[in-house]
Amino acid sequence: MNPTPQSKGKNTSMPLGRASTRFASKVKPKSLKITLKRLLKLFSQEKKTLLLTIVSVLIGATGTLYAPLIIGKAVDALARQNSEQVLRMSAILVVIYFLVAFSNWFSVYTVSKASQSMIHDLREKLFNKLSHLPLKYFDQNAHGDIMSRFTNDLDAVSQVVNQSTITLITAVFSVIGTAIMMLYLNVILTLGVLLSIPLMFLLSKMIASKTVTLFKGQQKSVGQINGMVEESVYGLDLVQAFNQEDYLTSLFDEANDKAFKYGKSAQIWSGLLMPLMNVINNLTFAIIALLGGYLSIKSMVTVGVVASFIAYSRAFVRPLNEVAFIYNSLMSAIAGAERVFKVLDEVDEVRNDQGIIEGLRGDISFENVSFGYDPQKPVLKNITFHAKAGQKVAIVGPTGSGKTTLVQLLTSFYKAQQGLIKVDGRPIGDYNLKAYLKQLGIVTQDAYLFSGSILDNLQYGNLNASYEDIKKASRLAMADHIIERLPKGYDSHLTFGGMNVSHGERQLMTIARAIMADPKIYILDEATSSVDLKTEKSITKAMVTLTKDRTSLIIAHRLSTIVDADIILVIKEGRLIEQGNHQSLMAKKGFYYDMIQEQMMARKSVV
Amino acid sequence: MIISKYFKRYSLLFFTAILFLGIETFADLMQPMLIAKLIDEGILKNDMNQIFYFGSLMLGATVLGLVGALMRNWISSHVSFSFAKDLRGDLYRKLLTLPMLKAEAIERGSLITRLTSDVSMLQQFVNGMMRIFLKAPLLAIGSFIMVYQLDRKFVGIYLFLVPVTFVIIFLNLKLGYPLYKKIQEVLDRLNLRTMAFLSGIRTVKAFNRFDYEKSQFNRISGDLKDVTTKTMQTMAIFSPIIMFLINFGIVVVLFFSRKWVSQGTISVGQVVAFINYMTQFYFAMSIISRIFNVFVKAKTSDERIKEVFDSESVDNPSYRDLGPLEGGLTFKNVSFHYGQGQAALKDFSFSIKDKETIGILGATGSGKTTLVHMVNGLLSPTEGEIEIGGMKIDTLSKKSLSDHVAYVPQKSILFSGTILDNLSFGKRGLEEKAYYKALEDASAGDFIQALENGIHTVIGKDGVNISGGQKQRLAIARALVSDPQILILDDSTSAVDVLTERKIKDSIKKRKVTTLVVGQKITTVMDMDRIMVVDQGRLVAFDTHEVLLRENDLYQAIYEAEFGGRNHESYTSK
Repeated sequence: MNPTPQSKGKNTSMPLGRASTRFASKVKPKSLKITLKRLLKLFSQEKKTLLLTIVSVLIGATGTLYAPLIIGKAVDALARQNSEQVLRMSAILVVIYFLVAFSNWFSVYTVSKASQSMIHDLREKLFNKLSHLPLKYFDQNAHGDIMSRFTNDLDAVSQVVNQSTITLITAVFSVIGTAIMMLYLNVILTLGVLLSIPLMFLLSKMIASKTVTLFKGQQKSVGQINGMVEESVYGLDLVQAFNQEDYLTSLFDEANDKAFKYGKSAQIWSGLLMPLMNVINNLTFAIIALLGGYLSIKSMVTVGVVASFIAYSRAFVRPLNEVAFIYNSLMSAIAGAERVFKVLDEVDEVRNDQGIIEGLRGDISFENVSFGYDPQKPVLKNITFHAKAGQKVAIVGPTGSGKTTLVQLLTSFYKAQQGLIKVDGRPIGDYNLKAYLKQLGIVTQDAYLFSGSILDNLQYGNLNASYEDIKKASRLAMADHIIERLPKGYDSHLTFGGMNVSHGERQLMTIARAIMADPKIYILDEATSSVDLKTEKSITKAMVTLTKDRTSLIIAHRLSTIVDADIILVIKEGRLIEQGNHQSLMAKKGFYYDMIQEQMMARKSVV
Repeated sequence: MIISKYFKRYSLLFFTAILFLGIETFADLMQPMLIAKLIDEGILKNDMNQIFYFGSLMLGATVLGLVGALMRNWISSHVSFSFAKDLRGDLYRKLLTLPMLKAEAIERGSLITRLTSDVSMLQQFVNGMMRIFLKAPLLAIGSFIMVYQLDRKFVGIYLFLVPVTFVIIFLNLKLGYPLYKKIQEVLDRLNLRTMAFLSGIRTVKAFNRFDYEKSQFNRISGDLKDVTTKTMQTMAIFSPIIMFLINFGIVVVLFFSRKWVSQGTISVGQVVAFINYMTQFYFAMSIISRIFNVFVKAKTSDERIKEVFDSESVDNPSYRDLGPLEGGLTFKNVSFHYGQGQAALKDFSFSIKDKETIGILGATGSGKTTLVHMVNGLLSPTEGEIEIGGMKIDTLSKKSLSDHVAYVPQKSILFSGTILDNLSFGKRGLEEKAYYKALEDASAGDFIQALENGIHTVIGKDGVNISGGQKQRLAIARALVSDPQILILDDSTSAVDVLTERKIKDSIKKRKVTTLVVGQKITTVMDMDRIMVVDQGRLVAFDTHEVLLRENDLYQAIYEAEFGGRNHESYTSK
């Protein structure tokens, strides 16, 4: 009967088109019934509290219905000058009014508790679900879009659950209750009031048919605006560096103008509903007065009944108005819930929670391992190698050859489609994942640090670490003097963009974080690519003592990092084409030799 | 409040809306009065003519009310949407001028919320003011006047109820404001945590910190639940109290009317009318208390938006907008501190000639990036002075500075879209030839030619994946497109092999542009005209490669580290 929210446009066609779907959240609910059922099921976990809500709403609504009747009686008594009766009715009224006020408050009190518990529960479920999803899910879905399920969608559910529960219960009850009361008082007058129902339906249908496209347009353009804002905020430095302000502003103004036009029209049209409903109300009012007047002249009703009816006609129409009013937000809440449920329905990552817990020695072997993000397009083909515990393994090869993918299989971020990866002679799937990961020290390529203090970030490697441990690890990673120079030392705050810390500095901190974990196997993916050679040398020196008795896998393209490795794996286009130590590979005069030669030649020619 | 500034712009329309609102309210108020007449004159006196007379007056009032409502709706929609459009547009313009440090201090997630949901909150408030909120006080005052007209005896009730209601509303406001603010804070925290989890998913997985992340998240989520529940429960107390007080007023009137009716001082119809006016009064008061509730929320949003508006801008209107300058650069005793910390740069003084090429070499954390951020204006010196092309940098407009200086960062960000889209960011609307020339100079021409759609290939999440080295070359091409006088490459060839790096630098040299190249390796900087050696925030030496290699210990040490002296031979021998 009312406009349903439709999808906000996805494509923002901004030059900074990091396609964001964060605000493209409101989609027309597809499986309305199923979603509603699931939502109700969740809500029913708060049965006890909700029961209290329903009881107090019923008490409140009954009181609200009953009061006009008593007033009517009091007015009748006044007209008959029956002072005692007036007094009695007044006393009853005070009690009723008190009960109504109390139960009105109590119903909000209980429904807030129930709805917030439910939302909290849903929020926890959603986050918990995210911790069980494979990395693939995060690589394939825009983060903004996942984010919007926590913000926009849950928000929509929360607001509606809060506001609408009471409205709906009250509405149903008061419409039925009022109808009964009116029928009890006078049938003819009741029919007069009921006349308004078909009128109201007709009206809202007419308006809805007009506004549905307008709302769609509005949500689309608002989605577009929000997408632009998000992109401009995250690309602010680039926008400023390249003087793109005027251009972006003109794009923004265009979208803003569109949102204005659609929004305004939608508002004007949907704004017709209330005044016109009001007309119907007043019409009903007038009909009751005329009809009531006529009937009372004919002595078929008392003046008091007419007075009551006037009140009832309002009580009857108002909840219908309110239901029409919340219909929009109800629809968007269901759409939001549907998007949340969709995440909850994703398939979990297969994760071993039992399995072997014992400590690792660090003996690693790959046996005919193949893998592709898209199984049709293998990124790694038939990889086989063996590294004994305590060895240093260097992985080299051109960009895009599959080096990072290889270590992501060892860390079980992704699962190999063919072949076996064994640690200490056992397939990695046999280990308890938690215990297994605990013994790996991983430094990823992105040098990611959370926004928060440096201390928090380093502690991430070992939550029980003392301040001294942290300082020691930073010293080993050559990060201590950099941290100490910051305004608040270890308590300095790192932000998303990290203006105060360069990429090389971030790399040093992520290395310190991995050291904190005191792992059996180190995995360093281009961990020092932005660090100067001198600092890198010092780290390498420190790592030699650190990695004693520990296996390390290092992806690097600097010669100095790889020459002293026990095993060098040369990867090219997904294949392991050569392996051995520096000397043996140089002697072989194969791809590795060529690579090194080329580097040396290049360097010589440059010098 | 921010609203008031925009209010002036639409004040005429705003008052027109109020006028129609007045008509609408007047019609609403007439209803109970007409009913009273209808009962007293018509029904009680059994006069059908009077019933029809007052009945048709009621219908007339309804039509009048409708006209008022429709006009008011039309105007208020126009005003509230214009308001939101203006505010959003202004805020967006302001956003684009925020200094980076400020944007980071506010936190970007929070900036987005301010431009989106906080603006909507204010729009709702403005719209609500015109739709119904102003109707409430009008209804309240109107019902008071009507009751006064009806019979002065009833006025005493109002004299008691009005102040008491306002005290309650005031308490409501006082209690509500800190609560809503708190909700907003917890919500920001929750969003930040979720965002961090998503961006750092690899790190979370690597350290298997799911339990930790969950417990952190659940704690904040629990906080949000608690504070929201508490707020709602607290705020819900006021409206029933107001309701009870006003209803109690009805009872009081009924109580006294016993005597008055028997004395004949008032009629039964008047009592009924009074009860109706009281109901209207309650209606008005409950709206007023709701207005204040919304007002509290709007105030929080208003403050958050105001903070953005009140931030300093990159640009100051007094800054000068100059045409092309030459590419000379002078630092005079420049120092820089991040906050209260040790100096990140200490006392830099040097001078670079137009079209000179400069290398900047130093250890990680020595201050190289901070130094070049001084030149592109992302940071301003704490002490000392910088001159660009003979002009003091702090008198130049941001626009002329960024026309002048192009910066390629360590970690290059490309946007998903076509390669051309990304290049156009440097400068829009050039001939395709110019874009290809820039790609050529950045040694990116070959791999782009090899792509099926060439310059129109879509890259990023929805398109072709490109490697780190390719990304860096595209970022350099983007900077070249803008044809700057000063070009800064901040370790932006780290993923490019040595030969290609050399090729890129050679073609840049041909472009005759002042160039600053920040590097980790000697090979990156050695072919520059002069090289700065930076160590722990100090400028240690500034000379040519040959001189430095002869005379500077640190430079020699770095050279040793890179070429490894004796070790060096062992790589190639055998």
